[in-house]
Amino acid sequence: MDRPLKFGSESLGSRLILGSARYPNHDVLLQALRAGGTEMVTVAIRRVNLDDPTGENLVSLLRRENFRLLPNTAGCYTVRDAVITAELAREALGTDLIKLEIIADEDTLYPDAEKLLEASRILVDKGFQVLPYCIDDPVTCKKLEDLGCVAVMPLGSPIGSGMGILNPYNFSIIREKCQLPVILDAGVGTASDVALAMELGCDGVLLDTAVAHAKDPVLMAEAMRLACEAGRKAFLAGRIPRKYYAEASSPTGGKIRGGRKAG
Amino acid sequence: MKISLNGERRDLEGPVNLQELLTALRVPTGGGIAVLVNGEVARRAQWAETAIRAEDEIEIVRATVGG
Repeated sequence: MDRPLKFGSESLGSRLILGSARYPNHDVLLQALRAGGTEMVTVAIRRVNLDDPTGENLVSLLRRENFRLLPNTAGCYTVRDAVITAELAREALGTDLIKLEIIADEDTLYPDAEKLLEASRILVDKGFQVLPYCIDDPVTCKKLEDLGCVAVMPLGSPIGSGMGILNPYNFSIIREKCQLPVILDAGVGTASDVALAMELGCDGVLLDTAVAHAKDPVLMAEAMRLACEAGRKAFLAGRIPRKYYAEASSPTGGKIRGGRKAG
Repeated sequence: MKISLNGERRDLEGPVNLQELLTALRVPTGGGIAVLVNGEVARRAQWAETAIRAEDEIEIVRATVGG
């Protein structure tokens, strides 16, 4: 039995965290979340549609199913907007958890490391449990750890790109240098990306589009769950080292000699 | 009086407090909602005591789908 994924006040049996965006409808969303075995779901903070204020109530829907909520600051480009969004999320949802995103560039949606560090410092001071979405850079991850974040969430590749983990070596270094839980966030395209992340020693994976935009989101969510479990078990089991040359797996002693046969 | 509400100019018949405004707008206040008044989060417990003044900038938000 594996130990739970722990960060801050949270303890999760599932190491797969799923987003709630881009699904065809709420019914498919709920089915996929169940199939993924996830316990925590990300949500965004946005203006209420005042033309239909009683419309969608995602929070009730997710809470009815006992999912824990991880609000994000998606779409924020400034420290101030990110901090205010985190405070609104705390007020709306009664949680100190915040997935901190401060975007630097519209095309790549890469995080702005400088602003991320500043916002992390402010939010930690305000008592938030900060999970920063960051570049796959061991130095930044270490700085975020020193600031008191509860986990780091390095990207595998740009959000929604489905390009997987572009720099697995950096993930290995982050794993080695950073004591915090490492949760791959962004870039997952399919199940093998999740398995690789877990094999590299990530403590968890957060993904959204790869499931929500799959042809069959529910089936893909199940695949992600299995990949997460398989990758985790492989990491715990310890992979063999890579070598340039072959090493026979069958015994080398006791081999027969065919002898001579005429003709 | 005129205020800014979720980025749009609105005319309000005052005086009115934040709780009354949310009720008038039919915003469900059971949970999952937060309000920003002039850049400061208005705590739920303070809604009924928060008088809205002309030119206030108010943002009413909720948690919605996100990644």
